[in-house]
Amino acid sequence: MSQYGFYFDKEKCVGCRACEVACQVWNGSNQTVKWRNVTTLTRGQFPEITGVNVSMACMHCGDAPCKKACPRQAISKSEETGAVTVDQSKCVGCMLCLWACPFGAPKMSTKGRMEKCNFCQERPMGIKRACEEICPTQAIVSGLIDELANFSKKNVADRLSYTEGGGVVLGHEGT
Amino acid sequence: MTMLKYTFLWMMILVSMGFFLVGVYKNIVSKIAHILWVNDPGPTGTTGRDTRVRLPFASKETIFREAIVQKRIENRSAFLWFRHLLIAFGFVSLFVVAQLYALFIKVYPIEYFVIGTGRGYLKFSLELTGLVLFVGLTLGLIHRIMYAEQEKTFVDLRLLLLLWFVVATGFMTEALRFIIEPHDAFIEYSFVAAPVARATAAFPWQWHTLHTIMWTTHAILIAFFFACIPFTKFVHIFVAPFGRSITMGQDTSRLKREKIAEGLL
Repeated sequence: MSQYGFYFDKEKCVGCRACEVACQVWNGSNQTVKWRNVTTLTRGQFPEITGVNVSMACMHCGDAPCKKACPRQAISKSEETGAVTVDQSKCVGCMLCLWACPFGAPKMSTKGRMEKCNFCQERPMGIKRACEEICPTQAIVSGLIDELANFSKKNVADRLSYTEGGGVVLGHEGT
Repeated sequence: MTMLKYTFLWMMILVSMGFFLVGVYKNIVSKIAHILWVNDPGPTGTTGRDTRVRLPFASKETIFREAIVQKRIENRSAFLWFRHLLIAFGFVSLFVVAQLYALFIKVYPIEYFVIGTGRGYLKFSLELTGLVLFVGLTLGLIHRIMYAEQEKTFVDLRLLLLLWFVVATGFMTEALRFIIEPHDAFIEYSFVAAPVARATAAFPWQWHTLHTIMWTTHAILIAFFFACIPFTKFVHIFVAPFGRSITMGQDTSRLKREKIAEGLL
């Protein structure tokens, strides 16, 4: 099974929220709530201030806890791409998947069923996802998890000038 | 005959409870155990990134809003909210009254409930809660049929029909019983089954046979319904109020994202 996923680089994200908009535009017909969220967190007081922008959607985890938590088996993992998706005809909106998800990705839609990132399933694999395509700083990168892990390691190595550590793609630790 | 009926009923209850308990373990208990395990941050000082959030216990207001008043449904449609409230409260109260009826009249007989006014109150409560449930289910069926295109994705017509038939056969069984026992001491407490019985008693039908058939059908449908609960969309009866309260109407999502961001700060 191929496993695709997202890599996010917090050093590059400027918090413009273009990814949120692109996600909503591309998935407009399926989406009633935001699937991708940019969380901006600041700590301290000027001039000693520090902050981070984190763009987060479903990480399509290798061993998805939401899939195991669903009492209706409404969440499935694609054999082809590893994308974790919700079958709304089975979902009862109990929100146990949200409770299980470490990233808080599944959201209650206005239809009373859970919604989450479907990895732009209507886009052919091999081209960029909507959020990735729009990102002006290339902070979001999608691809095969193994490649992303190597990409992440290389980024860390380039920045810190050593080759150990780093290289963790959230939801795929230990890959 | 009565002995045979109740032996059959208890056999049905045992089989149904067997399926029900297996389903509850498989689709509810094991799921919640898994979630608790996933969310367990482990002992303090463990190595590695801890992105898990210690969820605060749901407040009384959240439980009231999400599980009792079901405000999220009201946000979708006032009519949907109204009929869902009728079904939810009708079902829960009918279940509770039916258990009290069985407890005080069959299991631990108390004179007030066996031959006293208490029995009349219980019968009245059974009919009232049954009627509330029946009205809610009928409104749901009408809406499901009228708006089939929009509703068919989310509403399972077969389950709605199953519960509708459970309640309908309940009323019909009681009406048929009043036809064959017209001098029941508590008939005055019945405001649905008794009028139906009076309206149909004049027909020259085999009422005893019809009553046995209807009673058996009702018993089978109830047993089937309870066996179905954990395996079908009915499972939401247990998991939705629980899950919605514990996730505090999506506040959990924000808290988890902030926890991740804090880790990356």
